[in-house]
Amino acid sequence: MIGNDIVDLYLAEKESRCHRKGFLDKLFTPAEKSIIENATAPLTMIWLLWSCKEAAYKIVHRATRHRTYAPQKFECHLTNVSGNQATGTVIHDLQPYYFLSTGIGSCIHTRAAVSHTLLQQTAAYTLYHRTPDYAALLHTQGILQPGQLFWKDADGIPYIRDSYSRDVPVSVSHHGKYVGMVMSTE
Amino acid sequence: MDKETFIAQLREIVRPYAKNQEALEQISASTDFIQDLKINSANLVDVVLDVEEKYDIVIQNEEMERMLNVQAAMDIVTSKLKEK
Repeated sequence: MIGNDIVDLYLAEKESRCHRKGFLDKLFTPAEKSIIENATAPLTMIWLLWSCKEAAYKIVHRATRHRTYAPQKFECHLTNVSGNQATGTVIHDLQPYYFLSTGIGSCIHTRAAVSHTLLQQTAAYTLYHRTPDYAALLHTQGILQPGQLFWKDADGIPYIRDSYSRDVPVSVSHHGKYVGMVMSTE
Repeated sequence: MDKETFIAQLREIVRPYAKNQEALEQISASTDFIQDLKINSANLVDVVLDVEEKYDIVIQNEEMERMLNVQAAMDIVTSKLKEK
């Protein structure tokens, strides 16, 4: 199980008033708020943590098919932050989800997986694009081969169907000018 | 407050965040904030905060958890106003 989330930092700054009363209280746990307050770039930290929660949520949603808006139930724990990369876990229902976030251009792209091993067996694509046509983008990247199909099920969960009619899970994300895609390489 | 009044008020609350303005004009009890109105998930918290301000109520995390569509928002606000 894999998930990913992308945040266009310019758009996030434009769309959200992070300083409004209650904003951080509703989205983040006290421990996460402390990480944000102590960060050298608090705004960037807000979106880093948010993208981690969203990437983990996508895994849980894929597994349970249950939609919720419970950001505090996904708590981020940073293991390492260096340069433009961050790693750690998101804990949901006592289950850890491992993530790797990368800052590219003016976006943060996070991929998450149910195990550290699986996380290392993923390929991530971060693309600068205004209008996302995932099938076309996957084709352009050489990921979608002739005879393969990009499709979403009734819950909106995406897959690539190969020429043997096997469905390979893929995770897609779009925000502002950026598109993110992650898939298992195994 | 009747259903039509609430939906009309909620439409104005979500207007700044709705990326699908056509769906916004067709808003009904079954409208989903994210899937139909294309509200960014990071902006759903703004809808929750704006609803709190508008009706002077406090929405708990357990309630926010299911506030994904108009009907759920209406149920939450209605029960909160009854408590007053």
